[in-house]
Parts: sequence; C-alpha cells; structure tokens
Amino acid sequence: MLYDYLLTWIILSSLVPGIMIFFLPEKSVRTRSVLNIFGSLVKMSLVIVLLVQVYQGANIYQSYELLPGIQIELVSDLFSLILAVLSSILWFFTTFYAIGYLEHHHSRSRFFGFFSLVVTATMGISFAGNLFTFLLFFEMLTIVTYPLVVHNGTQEARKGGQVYIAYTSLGGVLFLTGTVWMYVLAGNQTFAAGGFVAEDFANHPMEYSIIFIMLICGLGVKGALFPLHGWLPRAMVAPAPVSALLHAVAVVKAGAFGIVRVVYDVFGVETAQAHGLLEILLYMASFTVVYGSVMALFQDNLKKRLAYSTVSQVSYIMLGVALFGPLGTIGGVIHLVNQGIMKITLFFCAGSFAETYGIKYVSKMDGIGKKMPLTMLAFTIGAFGMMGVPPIAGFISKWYLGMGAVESGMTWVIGVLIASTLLNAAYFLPILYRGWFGTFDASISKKLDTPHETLRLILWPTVSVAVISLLAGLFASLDYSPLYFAKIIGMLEYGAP
Amino acid sequence: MEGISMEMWLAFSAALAFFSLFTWVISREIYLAYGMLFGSVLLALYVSVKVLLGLPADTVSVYFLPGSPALVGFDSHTAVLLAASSTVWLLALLHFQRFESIAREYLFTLALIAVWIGNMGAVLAITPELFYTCFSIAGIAGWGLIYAAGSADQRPSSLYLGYVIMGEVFLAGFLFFVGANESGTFAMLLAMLGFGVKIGLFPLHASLPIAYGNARGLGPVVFAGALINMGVIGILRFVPFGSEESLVVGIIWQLLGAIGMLYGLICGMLQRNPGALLGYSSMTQMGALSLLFGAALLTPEWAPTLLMGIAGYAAFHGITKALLVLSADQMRYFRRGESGHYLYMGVLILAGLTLAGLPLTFGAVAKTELKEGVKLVGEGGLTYLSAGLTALSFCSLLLMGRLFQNVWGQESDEVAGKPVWIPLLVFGITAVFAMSWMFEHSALKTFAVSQLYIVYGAMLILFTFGRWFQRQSCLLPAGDFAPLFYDSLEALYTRIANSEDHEKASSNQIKMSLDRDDFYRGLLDAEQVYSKSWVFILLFGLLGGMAVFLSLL
Repeated sequence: MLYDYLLTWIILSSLVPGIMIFFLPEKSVRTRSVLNIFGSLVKMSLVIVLLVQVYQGANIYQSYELLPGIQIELVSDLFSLILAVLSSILWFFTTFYAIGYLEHHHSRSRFFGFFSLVVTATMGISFAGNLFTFLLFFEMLTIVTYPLVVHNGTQEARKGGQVYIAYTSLGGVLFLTGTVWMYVLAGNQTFAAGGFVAEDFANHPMEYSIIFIMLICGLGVKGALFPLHGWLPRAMVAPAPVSALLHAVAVVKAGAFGIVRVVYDVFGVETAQAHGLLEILLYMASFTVVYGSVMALFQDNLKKRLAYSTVSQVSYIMLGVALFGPLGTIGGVIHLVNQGIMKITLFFCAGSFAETYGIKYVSKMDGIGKKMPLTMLAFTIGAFGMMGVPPIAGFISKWYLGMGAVESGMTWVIGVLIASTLLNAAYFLPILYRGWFGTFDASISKKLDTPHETLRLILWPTVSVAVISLLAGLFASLDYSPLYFAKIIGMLEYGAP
Repeated sequence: MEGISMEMWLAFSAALAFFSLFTWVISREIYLAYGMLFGSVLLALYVSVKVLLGLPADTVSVYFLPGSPALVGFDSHTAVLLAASSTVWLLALLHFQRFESIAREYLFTLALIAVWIGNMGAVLAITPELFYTCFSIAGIAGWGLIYAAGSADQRPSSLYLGYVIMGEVFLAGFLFFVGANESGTFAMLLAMLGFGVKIGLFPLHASLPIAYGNARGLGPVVFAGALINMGVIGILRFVPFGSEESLVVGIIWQLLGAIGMLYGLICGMLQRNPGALLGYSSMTQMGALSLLFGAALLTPEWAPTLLMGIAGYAAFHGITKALLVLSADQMRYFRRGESGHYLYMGVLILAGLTLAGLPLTFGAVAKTELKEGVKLVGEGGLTYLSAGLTALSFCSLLLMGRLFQNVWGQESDEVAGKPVWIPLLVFGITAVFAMSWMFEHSALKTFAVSQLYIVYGAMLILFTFGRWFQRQSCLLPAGDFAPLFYDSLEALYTRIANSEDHEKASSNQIKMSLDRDDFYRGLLDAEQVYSKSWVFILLFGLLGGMAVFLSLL
C-alpha cells in the first residue's frame, strides 16, 4: 500500500510543508525550519526507499485520469531516479544552507513556501511518465521559481525576473505547442524506451522533425542552450540558495533532463539519429559549450561567471546524448549528477563569500582563502571538478564524454572538450589564485557576527557537498554509485553488454 | 627478504610516500617527512634495479576510478626509466640540506612529495586513467616547486601552470582515444602536443626553461632529471607506433624536433641563468629524440629498436641533466679555491662532456645504443637521422661551453671567455686521440674522428663569439616568447576587471569591449626585454631549422 503510492508520497512530502509554510507568520522561525527540514528528510528517506524497491525489481507506476484520454502518469525508471535522488539529496543540504543564509532577510515564509514548491515541481518532472505530466510540472516550475528570482525586490531583481519569465514563457509556449501537436499526430504520449513515435515517424517525417525542434527549443530555454540562454546570467540576482537550486537541480536540470527524455523516450535515439535530428542538437550543444566558457572569461561578477559556466557545463549533458553511443550516454547522464553536485558547491561558496564579507566580484576576492579556508577549499574542489581534474566527479564525466566522442567517430568533439577545458582553467584558476595567494583587503569587514569563518549553517552544507563531489569521483566504480546507474542506462538504451 | 615480491616492495614504497605526505601535513616534521620520502625513493630504486637484473614482476591491479581495474607494472621500458628517475630523486634528496632555504617551505615540501607520488605513479601506470591522474598530479604539483620560491614575479609560476594545463588537456584528448581503443591522425597529433609540452617540443617548450630556471632548492634537479621523462614514458607506452595513418604526424613531429634543436640552441646561448640554459639544452636533446619518434612513426618495422634506444637515452639524459643542474647550483655556495668548488666544477665538466656524447663517456654508450636503431632506419631511407645526432652533439657542446662560461663567471664580475674553452679543448682532443689509439676498430675510429670535428667547430665558435655572448646586456628571458603572452593576457585581464563599472555591473548590457591600447601594452612593454635583434635571430633559427630539415628530406 505504502509502496503503491510511493511516488505520490514523495511529491506530497514537499508540497504539503510548502503550503503549510505559506500560512506561518513571519516570526515563527523554529516551526518553519522544522517543517522544512522534516519535509526534506522525509523526501530523502522515501526516495531511498524507492531506490531500493526499484533495485529489487519493483515496477512502481501510478496514473490519475484528468480528462478522458489525458492522464497524469508517474513512473520510476532508472533515469527518473537519477534526478530524484540528486534533487532530494541536494535539497536537503540547500534547506540548511537557506535557513542560515536568510537568517536576517525579509519575507521568509514566502521564500520557503515557494522553495518547497520548486522541489515539488522538480520531483514531478523526474517522475513524469508522459509528455503531458512533464508539461504540467514544467510549467509549475516556471511559475513557482519567479517569486524566488525576484525575492530581493530590488529593481535589478525585478528586471532579472522579467527576463526570466519572458524567456521561460516563450519556451513554455513552444513546448506546449509541440506536445499538443504530438498528441494529435501520435495519439499517445507515454514515454517508452526506444521512443513512442519511432515507428510512426516515417509516416510524418516533416511534422515530427518540426515537433522535435519545437520541443528541444522549448526545453532548451530552461536548459540554457545558445541562443536561448539569456535569462540565466540575469537570474543570478536571486539569493544564493536559489541560484544554487536553479543551476544545480531545478530549472536548468529540468531542461536538460527533458531533452534527454525527448530524445530517448519520445523519439528514440535511433530514430533521432537516423533522421539527422541528433546532429542539430550536437551542433547546438557544442557551440553552447564553447560559447558559455568564453563568456565566463569576461565576467568579474562571481555569480555571473558561474552562471556562464553553467551555460557551458549543462550542454555537456546534451552533448553526451547527441554523441549517439553508450559511452556518450553514460557521460551525459553522469554529468547530470556531477554538474549538479559541483555547481551547487560553487554557488554555496559564492553565496558564503557575499554573505560573510560582501564579496561579489572576482577582483575583490584577494586573500579570501586565509579568512575562509574551508569555504575556499570547497570552492577549489568544485572548480577543479569543473575543469575535469581527477579524482573529482567532473573527471568521470569528461572521461566518458571523450571516449564517447571517439567511439562515435566524432573526433572534432574532442576539440570542443579541449577548448572548453582550457577555457574552464582560464576562468577558474585566476579565482583560485586570488583567493589563496592574494593579499586580503583590510578595509573589508565581516558582516556576520560569528566566531567561525561563517555561520555554521552556511559552512557545513558547503563542505558536505564538496566532499560529495570528491566521493562521487573517488568511488565511482562502486555499485549504487551514480556512474553505476548511468552505465545501466547506457546499456539499456543501446543494448550493449 | 626472499619472500617479498616486487609488487609488495612497490606497495611499501607508495605507502611510505603517502605517509610522508601525511606526516608533513600533520606534524610539519621536516626530517621525518624527508626521511620517509627518501625511503620511498630508495625502495623504488631497489625494485627497478632488481627488475633490470631480470627478476620477474607482474602487473598488479589497484583500486582506481572509473570501473575498470587500473594496472600498474613494468613493461620493457619502465624499469630503466624508473631506475633513472629514482636515481635522480635520490641525488636530489641527498643534497636537500645543502640548498638555500625556501620562502614557503610548507607548500614546497607538500608539492615535492606530491610530485614524487605522481612521478612514480606515471612511470608505473599501465591504464590510461591512472597514468593521466598521476601525470596531472606531478605536473600541477610542480607549480608548487616554482611558486614556493616566493619570487615577487608571478610570471614564471603562472606560465608554467598554463603550459602544464594546456599539455594535460591535449593529453586527455589523446587518452580518450586510447581508452576507446581507437587511433588516427588526430589522436597522434594530440599525443604529440600533449607530451610535447612535457618534453619541450617546439613551440610548446617554454615550460622547460621556466621551470629549470625558476624552481628553487631541489626543484630544478627533479624537473630536469625526472619529470621530463614522464613525457618520454608516456610516448613510449601509449603512442601506437606502427599504425599506418601516422605518416603525417611523423613528418610534423620530425620537423618540430629539427626546429626545436636549433631554436633551443639559439635561445640557450642567450641565457645567463644556468637553469634556463639547461632547460633549452633539454629542448635540444628532446628535439633530437623527436626526430626519432617521428622516424618510428614513419618506419613501423624498426620502431621497437628505435624505442629501446630512446628509453635508454632518456634515462641517461635525465641523470646527466640532473647532475648538471645540481652542480651548477651547488657551485654557487663555494668560493673559487675551495675544494667543493672544484669538485662540483669537475662534475659539471664531466657531465657536460658526457651530454655532448664525447668518446669514452657514458653518453657515447647511450648514443651508440641510439645509433643501432638509426642505422637500421638509415638503411630504410631515413639517412638524415645520423646527421641529426651529429648536430645534437654539436649543439650540446656549444651549450655546455656557454654553461661553463656562465658558472665560471657567476661569482665574480670578470668576463670569462678564455678559461672555458681551454679545458674543453684539452679534454676533447685527448679523449678523441685516446679513443682512436685504444681501439683499432675502424668504425669507432671514424666515430672518434668525426667527434673531433665537432669539438673543433664548437671551440671555434665559442672562442670567436664567447666574449660577445657574455657582453650582451639584453639577454632573452627564460621561456623566450612566453612571458610576452603573459603580459598581453595580464593586460587583458586587468582590462576586464576594470571594464565592469561595479555600480552598473548588472545593468542591461554585458560589457566586453576591449581597449586595444591595453591589449597591446604588454607587447610594447616587452620591447625593452626583447630587443629587435633577438627577434630576428630567433626567426632565423626557426626558418633555418625548417630549411635544414626540408633539405634533408
């Protein structure tokens, strides 16, 4: 009984606390914190139960009929588990971080209410079993993220919010149109391994190709594919925990996750490849990888530099999928996880620097490592991971992506990887150099009243996610590691041994 | 002792290295840390010598990153290069108290131990992931050896790191191919570039003179003797010599090697810092080896013979170069007339002559090994290789002459031209005549006599131009053109940091326009360092090297 409705429970575990938080008065900090932490703990436990169930072979599936012929379907395949596990674990850490970070901010009930809804939407996206369910949660994500982006209420924040909503609504419209057209054409929407339109494709190649492009562009807005990425650097005005969630698990990941779903479970990777659709994705992703890295070079604002880095890194996921081969798939899927862990580390650190010393610009970061050694160490691990230095998680992604490129004979992609890695080094190393070896500007004073380098609620989540990104690389070869599941997914898609 | 296998000894060695790192981080007991490091190096030397003497050693699987088991073990080239590397480390560690004190001792020691761990791992690693990891650890930790010197000038350490990262990224690209069991022209090119940074292949050579010239303490010894050979072992182990698509890369590799020999000679002659000079000398030596790597790609059937000779030569070169760097450094601590001064001078001269491959020296033996392969290839049509080796002797002798000139004059301001070539001449001529007198073998006699011309030629040049070189006030900085890139990039970065008006940082437009003046300021500043004549000389070297190579083809 419990297991049958497990997926619903998981979604409710953040929806219910979220709604309850809205009704809490601003002053009841303790109740709110307890609700938040309780919700995230319950969710994490339930997701782990689900993981064990699925591993033991249970096939958990639920559907609710909304309108005749239109169903909300929730499934738990391996791929949905990857996003669910990632976001529930990272949400857990972000909750603590956000409680510490927002200690002296206004409108916290509003913030934490929407915060929980964002995770609800992300869970819905990961368990969505058909295009309609996906669309539902995808749009919900757009709406509930907006109040978080504009949370600070400054003019800059509102401007950022406007750009965000403009871009994502456009994406939403494209995705909606694609979904409806697909429904009309195929009469079916349920995700299926190998794609549910694979057989019908030959009957309407033109229409399906247009639908493919519409869906990819719709999702590509959230996934920050060039030229649809414009909102992401602007949305960095949001508070740090929001940026962390946005970049690591929620919005950007939803886009990337959706693209992978569309390629594998809607069209089928073989069909997409056979009709040259993957090639479009490959070129878009490759260009975005290099473009994001180049743009990151020119940013002095730390969060903006990280935002462009996300633009570049998330496209690795699409790149892996577009490489058409088991190794590329493993690389793409594993990067979904690894990029999340590493990027959340970096954003936690950026928020920590800003909150503790008011440092927001790379050029002001001189010597911060001496004042905040643990935070800077976490940042270093995240940055080296992004560059692909072994044994951090990012190395695993790059290793499989590179081998995937060779395997599929697209050796020019290696050139893309090389260029991007060099650029990563060029925009991350100066930060590390300043942070560790610069001289701290004595006129900058600490904003927080704490004997530690920063509030413990900010410090420990940061250190924890940094340790996780190290462990995800070191123990990648163990069973139950993210790589293990990515490998199974790669095998399932291509039927390789 | 009998029951302990080679693998166990190696495991002990690795464990000691990690303990040393741990001890240093926890306790900062320098003698304890160095003692353990010494033990680790000693064990590695013991194992490699045992294996060289014919003891069997299997490959071992160690736990490592992604899925597949990582292997460490010995192949036909490993033992000789591990023996050479650990000898160099031993040599350096034995002297550790004799070096000047380091500004940032904590970082230095940390980096030093990490470099050893990476170095040993890279020599032994058989699987590409493990090799790459160890190779990067050693390369990046090497930055610590330069940075820890505490110099106010950040250019050397940053440039070194930049080059290392560039090399590692190319290398990663190549190892993707190895990991996926594929090959091809592109893969070969990546291998050439990736390892090229480590072995100083033109035009990626700048990290060698920069590292040798700016690291402190036993850093330069380790760079010169051990780290350069990581590149060689990587090439020997992972480049699929013998596949047919590699003709283009073979020719490019030879061309760059030939240019590198001449370019290294010219830049080296313009150095005052013995370390930087020796860095360029390594570039020249590795340029010659690059000729042979190219040849191995062009004539797959002779590749094994060539590669065996290359492994031996690289081992010899590492030890000799380490001796040169070490003695040039140690001589600074003695006044002329003290016995230590003469001791290290003697070592320097001997090692220098050995490096030039003069008869009766270890260098001649190492070169004879090389010539075996070259002879075979020569019969296959690549006749210019033996000319390449002769040119190498000539270049090395000139550079060594210049080195003597530098160290001889380094403690006094006296411009020393004469004392340099007299001992060289005497030693060279005696050696050559002794050689031809002792051996009746005609081939050896021819070899000895041909060496005589080289000695005479080099002497003549040194005699004529020696004073001129010493007088030049404006000499080339270590890394020739690399500091120029650095200055330009730095101007660019400063510009970026200032370009965002922080008040408006998040306003609508993303500002990335560059002020051309700022961008080129680096170039203009550099004019004081690079007088125009040197630019012409370097260009001449570049074109000359190309012309010589093409004419040989």
